[in-house]
Amino acid sequence: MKEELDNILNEARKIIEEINSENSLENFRIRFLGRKGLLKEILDKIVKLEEKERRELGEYFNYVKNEIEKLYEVAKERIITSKKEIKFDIHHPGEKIRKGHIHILNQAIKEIKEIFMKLGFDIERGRELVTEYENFDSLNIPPNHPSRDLWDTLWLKFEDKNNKYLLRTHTSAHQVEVLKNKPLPIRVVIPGKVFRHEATDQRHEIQFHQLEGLAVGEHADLRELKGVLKIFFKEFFGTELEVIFRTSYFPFTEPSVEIDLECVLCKGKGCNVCKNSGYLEIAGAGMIHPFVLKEAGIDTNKYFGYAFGLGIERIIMLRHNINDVRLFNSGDLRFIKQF
Amino acid sequence: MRFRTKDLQEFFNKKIDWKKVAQELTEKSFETLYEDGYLDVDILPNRFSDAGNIYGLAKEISLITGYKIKDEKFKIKEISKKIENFIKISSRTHLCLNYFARVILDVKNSESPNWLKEFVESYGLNSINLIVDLSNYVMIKYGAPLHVFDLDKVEKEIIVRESKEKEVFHSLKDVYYTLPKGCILITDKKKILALAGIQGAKSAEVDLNTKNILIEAAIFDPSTIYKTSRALNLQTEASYRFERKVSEINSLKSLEYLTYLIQKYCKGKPAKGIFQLNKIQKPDNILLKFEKLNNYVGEKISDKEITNLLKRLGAKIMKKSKDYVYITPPIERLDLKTDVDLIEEIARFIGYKKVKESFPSVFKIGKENKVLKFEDFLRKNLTSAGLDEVITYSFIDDEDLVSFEEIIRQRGEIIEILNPVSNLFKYYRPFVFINLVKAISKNLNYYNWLRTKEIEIFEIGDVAVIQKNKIMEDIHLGIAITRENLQNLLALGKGILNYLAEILGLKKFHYKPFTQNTNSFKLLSAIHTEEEDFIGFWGYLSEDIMKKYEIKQPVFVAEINLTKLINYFEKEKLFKEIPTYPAIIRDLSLIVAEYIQSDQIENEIYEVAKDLLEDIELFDIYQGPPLKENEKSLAYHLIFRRSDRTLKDEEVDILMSQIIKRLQDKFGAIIR
Repeated sequence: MKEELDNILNEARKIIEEINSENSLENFRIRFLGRKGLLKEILDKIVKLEEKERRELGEYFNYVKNEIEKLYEVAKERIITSKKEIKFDIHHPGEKIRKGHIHILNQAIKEIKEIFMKLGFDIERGRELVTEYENFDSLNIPPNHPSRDLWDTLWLKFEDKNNKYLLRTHTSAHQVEVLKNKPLPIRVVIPGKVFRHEATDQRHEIQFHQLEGLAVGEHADLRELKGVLKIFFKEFFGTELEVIFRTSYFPFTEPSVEIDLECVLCKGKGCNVCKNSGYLEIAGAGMIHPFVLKEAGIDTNKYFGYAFGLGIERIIMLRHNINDVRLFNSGDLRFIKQF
Repeated sequence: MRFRTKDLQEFFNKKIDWKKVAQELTEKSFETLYEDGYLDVDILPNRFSDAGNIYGLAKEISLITGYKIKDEKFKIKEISKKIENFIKISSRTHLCLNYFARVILDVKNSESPNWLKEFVESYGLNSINLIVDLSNYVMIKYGAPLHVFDLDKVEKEIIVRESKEKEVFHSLKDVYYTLPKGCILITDKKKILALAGIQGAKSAEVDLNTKNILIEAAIFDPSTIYKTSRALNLQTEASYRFERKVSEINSLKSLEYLTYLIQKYCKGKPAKGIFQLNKIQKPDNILLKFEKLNNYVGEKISDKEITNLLKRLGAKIMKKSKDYVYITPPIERLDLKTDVDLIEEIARFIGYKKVKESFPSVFKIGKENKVLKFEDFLRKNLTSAGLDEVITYSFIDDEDLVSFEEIIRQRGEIIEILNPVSNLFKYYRPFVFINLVKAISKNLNYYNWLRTKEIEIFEIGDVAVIQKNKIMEDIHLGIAITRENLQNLLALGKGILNYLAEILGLKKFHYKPFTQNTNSFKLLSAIHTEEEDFIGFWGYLSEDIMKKYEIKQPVFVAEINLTKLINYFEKEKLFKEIPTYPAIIRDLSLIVAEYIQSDQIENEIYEVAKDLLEDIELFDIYQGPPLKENEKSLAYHLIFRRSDRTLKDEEVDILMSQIIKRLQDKFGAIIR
């Protein structure tokens, strides 16, 4: 009788594949699963068997019946859905695809890095906690000197035998280390977070990001400084803007210049953003002071170079019309998801 | 510094267009704003000693415009008695670099006339009395801070010395200061007369009854003045100038001018002679090579132009050749010490506008630091998975420290800021996740704008603690996710960790219960790589913490140290042949004791199946009825494949029964 069951199952499997209409499907049901169908016939026989045999075959019967029922259900699904027209409203809102956002600051830093790499600059990374020597002394900013007042510093309580530590106030803190370790000629930029002891408002933050630029060797002169910055701003803002130098003072550059950029918004005509001057103070720069080169072990008779530093949030704010620097550190997704 | 244009105008015959001058100063010297009658000039710190006074600024204007400046002429009529008859002056410290003094007798002090009152007030000072106001007038006009003592209150002798520990100084503003050791003091035999370079003492103060005076014009060590004034939190017009250096020549000139003014306005009679402690120092000569100048600026400037500019600056040309010029800088320009200082002078005079643009001459494409690349790689991939990147403050507060104390202590000692901006920014962050928790809390409150309670954020940034008395700075990735349903949240969190492993080309991370107890997390687990490196942890916030940070739905948190993880980044991927023969997939569902880890089971299965098992995937874990309390059920997909031929069902059957047997023997597993 087990063989009979196998035969029935095999037959069902064969037939089902050819069924294509509701009619023939109904015929299948009547033939195998109907009240007078093949399975019912067998069941009637099984009932009459001895108990032991009955139980064994009964289990197998259930298995076969189950399988045939499954075949029937699958075929039913197939036939019914193939008949139905799919209804889909073209105004259906669509499934919501979640998009993550890279913080606008890091999107911009990526762009900045790419521009400078094309110009032949390597990109380096520094630490945020540095020594007093790295941040000040190595840059010709001695202790008890008023030039230290140019940076409001956050100091660490922790000190050791040799050093006092602080949160870097500028990415210039890495100048000597980079100049020491890299082979000449050097072209490098260092983006990074810097810290100031400052009251915060729309334009001031205790933490923000700077881009340090350093070049030594191979005509790293004021002309190249001007050219590099000009092409950088052109790429970043997508339009040609005039770059002008103004006399300034930084202890670690000489000559020192303030970099003014033709106002991005009014193109030099004068507006609110540039306080009607037509120009924006955008970076500090100059020729690296011989003190710093010597500190890095570079022969000042042979080599010279330039350095520049600019605030990254500032140029992003100009490009994207952001009016409050504190938004950058807010963790506020209403801000972040806009970019 | 804010100057009245009428005071500057006095030094010129020509009527000056101040708007134009402001523009030229801005370009070549100092950022300057002109508004009705005033020039607001941002004098650079290195130039304050020469240009931070009316005469000095007038000279700078003369230099950049070419307008002729006229010097003031004045005459002093001395009496025959010599200064030595009235006072003996000595210095016992090298911190007093020079000391000039004059004695004037029979002065008549009074209230100041209106023009003088107006003058001092428009430069931000209070009018005190005629003598004091005149002395301030001179300081503003010629740059040197002078101090006037009432000679009758001085015990015959002036001694400049350093303070001893805990000496008390009673200032003329009637404040008592306990001094540290090493401040410079002006004293007589009995008392302190002044805190040198900063403020006078009450004891020798000039008042309306003062008859005879001593004027001090001295030069003190700038960094000592800086240190003392910061230590006592006492910054004055005098200390500001001494810190930025005062030139001896200005000092002497100011002394003479004040003597003249007191003679004129207070009818005083100057004693014969000036006391002078040391000789006036001559500036060092500077050698400027033309080649260096041209190298720096990048533009060719003719020798003749260079020498002309230097002469106009007031430098003396000592020697000149076709390659260099050797000069003595003007004595009042204390900032001109080396050749690069002269390069700046020349560059700003010829004008930076003349500097053209050029580009790096060596063709090369820059290389990026690997860590920065790795950070960008993670940003790209994590945002692809739907997470948003945030940036938070690198600081935490006391509350945070208490909340996560155990896990912080496990890592090291917290780094405290010596001078925090506020209590909210008291410590440098030891982990990134702490401020992510705050960001989650904040953004859940923005439901009205964001219209979602499903938040997934991450941050990559520097963190640090102190370990073994050393600062350990690392780069961490912090992840925080929130969902209303805890099961969904944990599944998603784990999914993201798996994704992270996958993008790094790792099969998966391994998780172990965290060794340290903590009340801030539940299910806290350590994350390890295949090579058993501990790289971080994950867990979800306990109810206590949720309450503290005002979060009403569960938050998954993970923190991963990238310094270690970076080793897995950028390993070249090699192509693997796509399998030719089909796989056989079998499911295996079993019940084991709760403590048995899936890793252990997977390892056993691999051991039995060897190369035939291509992959194993845990697709379900279940605990709860009808299982016993300490039991769990695990369900796996096992993928079998041979690379050389199609596997047969029978072969896999045999293998499956071997696997089952092994799991039964080893773990007492019940197969479902």
